[in-house]
Amino acid sequence: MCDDIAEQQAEITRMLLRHVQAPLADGVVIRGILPAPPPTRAVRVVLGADASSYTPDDFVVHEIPLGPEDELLTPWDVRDLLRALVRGTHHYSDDSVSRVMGMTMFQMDPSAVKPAPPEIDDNTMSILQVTGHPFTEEWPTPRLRGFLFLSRERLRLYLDQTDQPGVTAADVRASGAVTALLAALSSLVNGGAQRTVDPDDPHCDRLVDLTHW
Amino acid sequence: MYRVTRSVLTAIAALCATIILLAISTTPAQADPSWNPRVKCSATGRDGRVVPTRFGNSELGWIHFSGEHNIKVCELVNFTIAGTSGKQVGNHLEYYGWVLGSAGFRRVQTVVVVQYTQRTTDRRYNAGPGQRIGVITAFCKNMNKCPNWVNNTKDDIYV
Repeated sequence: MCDDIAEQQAEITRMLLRHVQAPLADGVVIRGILPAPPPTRAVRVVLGADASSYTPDDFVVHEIPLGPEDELLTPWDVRDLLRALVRGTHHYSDDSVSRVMGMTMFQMDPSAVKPAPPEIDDNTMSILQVTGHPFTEEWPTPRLRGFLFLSRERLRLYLDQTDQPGVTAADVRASGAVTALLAALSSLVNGGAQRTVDPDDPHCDRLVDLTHW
Repeated sequence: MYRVTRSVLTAIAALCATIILLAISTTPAQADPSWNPRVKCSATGRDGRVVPTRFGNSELGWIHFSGEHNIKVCELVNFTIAGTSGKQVGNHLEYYGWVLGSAGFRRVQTVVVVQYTQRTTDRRYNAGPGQRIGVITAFCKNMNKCPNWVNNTKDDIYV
């Protein structure tokens, strides 16, 4: 496990959550952030044309390499690169296009992209975020490494924890008993729920279905 | 009667000879078609091949595909050639690439067809000794005309 990459995937996930509802640009929102499996040192961001899209056909995935250990892309770097992708016209080689989980995925070379400049709202959000939810180096357990909207009712969480290798995916239902689910989440992903494997999802080592909670 | 017939035959023969001579001197198939071999764009493929796009005419090259298929920027052709190893059959090469708009919510696949020899396969065009014909045509897959937005090079990025 590349600990530096895992931590940066988690950092990118938590800092870009607001773009699930707030468009990056031109209505385009984030519909998922996938922890690229090792040894790939990247994050995969799933974009939707609007916040009502839920199916793989409606999504495009951009795999963004995070770079060397001492120069990892920050969440803001990722945001600015994504915004540049939304606004411009871009050329991709044929072999940088593939499929993952039924979605079309494009591999980006960040060194060849001119990032979009930060916007005033980004700074506004930073002020609010830091004052309202101060930064801490402590991570919750389990830690959120990514997520993906699978349907209107089903949200997949990608979670990890220090005493268990790899990534556990947990499918949850937003219309369920959210308070109970969140309280029991750590216990459930740590052996308290039946584990299966999703062979179509390369981003997790095991899967627990918590949609009935 | 015999003299009349003979003179008529002589006249017919002379007329035929004239027609044949005229035909030989004016048949287009015998002449090289008019084209402009000057290089408009140039790209280097992953295999090191330097592939020119010549102005050409309405049948091939820049003049052909910029009008017929609405590809109006060199970058689009050059990136497609430079970005992939392409498919090769003899000296016939095909390169494929993608153009993304709106982060990929609009996208088209580009195809560039190259003849990497001095002459075209139909022998009608000749780039000259040591030269290559280069790009015959370029187009967007599954459409006759590319959408206008593919020619938007402002803030282009290349991946």
